[in-house]
Amino acid sequence: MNHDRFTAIRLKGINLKNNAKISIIQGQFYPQYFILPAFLLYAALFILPSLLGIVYSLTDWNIYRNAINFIGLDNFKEILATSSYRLIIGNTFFFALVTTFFKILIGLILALVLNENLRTRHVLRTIFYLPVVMSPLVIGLVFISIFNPTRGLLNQALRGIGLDSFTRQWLADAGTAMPVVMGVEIWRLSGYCMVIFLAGLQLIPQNLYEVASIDGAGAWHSFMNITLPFLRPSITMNLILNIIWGLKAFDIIFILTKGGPGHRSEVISVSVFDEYSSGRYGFATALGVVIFVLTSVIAFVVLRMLNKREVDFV
Amino acid sequence: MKPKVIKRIILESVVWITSLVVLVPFFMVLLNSLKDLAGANKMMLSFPEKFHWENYIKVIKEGNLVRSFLNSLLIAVFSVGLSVLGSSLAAYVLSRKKSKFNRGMYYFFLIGLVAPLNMVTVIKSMQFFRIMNTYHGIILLYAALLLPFSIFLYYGFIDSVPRSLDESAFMDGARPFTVYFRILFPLLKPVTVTVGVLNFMNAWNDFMTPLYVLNRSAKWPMTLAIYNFYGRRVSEWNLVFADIVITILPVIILYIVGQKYLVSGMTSGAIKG
Repeated sequence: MNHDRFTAIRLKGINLKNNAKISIIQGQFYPQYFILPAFLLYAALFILPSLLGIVYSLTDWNIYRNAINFIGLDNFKEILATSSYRLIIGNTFFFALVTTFFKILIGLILALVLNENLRTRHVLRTIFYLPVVMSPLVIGLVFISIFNPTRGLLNQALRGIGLDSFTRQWLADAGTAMPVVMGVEIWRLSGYCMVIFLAGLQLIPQNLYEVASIDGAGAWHSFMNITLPFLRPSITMNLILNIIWGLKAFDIIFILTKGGPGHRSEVISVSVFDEYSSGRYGFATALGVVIFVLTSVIAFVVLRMLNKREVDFV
Repeated sequence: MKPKVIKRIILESVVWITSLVVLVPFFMVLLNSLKDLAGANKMMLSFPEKFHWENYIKVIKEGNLVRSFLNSLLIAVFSVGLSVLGSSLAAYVLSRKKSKFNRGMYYFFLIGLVAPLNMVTVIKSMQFFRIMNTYHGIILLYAALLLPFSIFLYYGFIDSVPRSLDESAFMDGARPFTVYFRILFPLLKPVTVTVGVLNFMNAWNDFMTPLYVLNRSAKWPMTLAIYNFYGRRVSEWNLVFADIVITILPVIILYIVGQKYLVSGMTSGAIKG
């Protein structure tokens, strides 16, 4: 079909203008070199570092020696053999999965409510989306002050309502550091999920609900059988993106706790920075490869799982 | 009043009360940025007794914020320009000429949406290209990082622009660059605004990249400057908050002005799944 069209154009071109027929060949219409600037930039500063990452992860490259030696999988063996790194890898998963779950849950509730015919729904959407456009660094600093043990808003509020026993050193307490960091991440990005769900909700034909209510279906029944199936693409998108972002998260955790206390809230990307700062470049690179592999595998598995489920339902 | 109306009012009030979870931190920052040191260190949600606008002047001077603000602006604007130009040109050909090679190339770019960047070897590569610790270095890096999502957005949009428009221009003997800049690019305005707003915010808000690749304080963007200022003045929250207000102000203005485009960009793809 494409070919036919071009033949037609070519004929027309010859009739219309003689000098146009030279440039009518498809290659000159849409020259391949238009891709070149993007390709070069992307290859030099994204693909090259990624490939170099795999190479250097097999070396003992560090700041103290000039020579770089090939050491096979030793870096990866060290990562797996060190209990703190096993904890950190576990934390990375835990952080990504828990925050994704709550962001999607809260985002869905917000979207459903703000899809109702509320008079101020547009203002409210703007408010709930606001944290998404803020720098995670700024959000981190603001929450450092909120969680400040003596003067912070949270402990002050708890004292104010007589719950003194609940006050904590939120960011320095081994039991609360990780939940608090996850809470801030959920606060920051639930609005993103909300917007994706709101877009999905607009695609549901309203007459489906009318038909369902004539058939005597309750609100819960309509939600399970109409809303949820229609939102499946939005759920997929939110799951994939949030898991990927969760696995890569750095700023918020780095600012709030630096991974402390005692690695309790540390994730891999924070360790990469620590190892890099202490000059163990090869090892830091190996940790980078671990995030790379985890992210790719999980993104792939989640996509496969969701696609399979979709087929089952159809 | 009808029960339906009452139900709506109750629901609306509940949502507004919930929105305080988002709004209170912002109020706290704004109120305390205008208090004196003693007042701000109490960190209450009270109104300032006297407006201390001089906090802003002080923080701009001591935090070297004029310089950092211009750094951020320079880095963000050029990253946006480069990424918009590179991605729209590439997406144009990738979308118009869907050969096997170009399809492969599109997926090759999309890898960048998923795969995390290895910062240590990014530094190694930037040293190799002799662009570490330079403005153009971080601009090129941002442009590279912003390409995948920008190409994704442009690709989808260009698919929906009728081919007949560019083809009839070719009929008249126009050259590819002329067709692209005169005819196609103006039609891409909505998606260009989306890509522009998103990329500007990403570059403006980013903290990790300059932390790794800009070591000289003279080139620091706002995020690094504020982090450094906080490190030096931990206990002076009134100044830190004033610094925060200055940092987020451009983003908030851009958000309110470009909200429509921002949301359409965020949601494209979610619909197709």
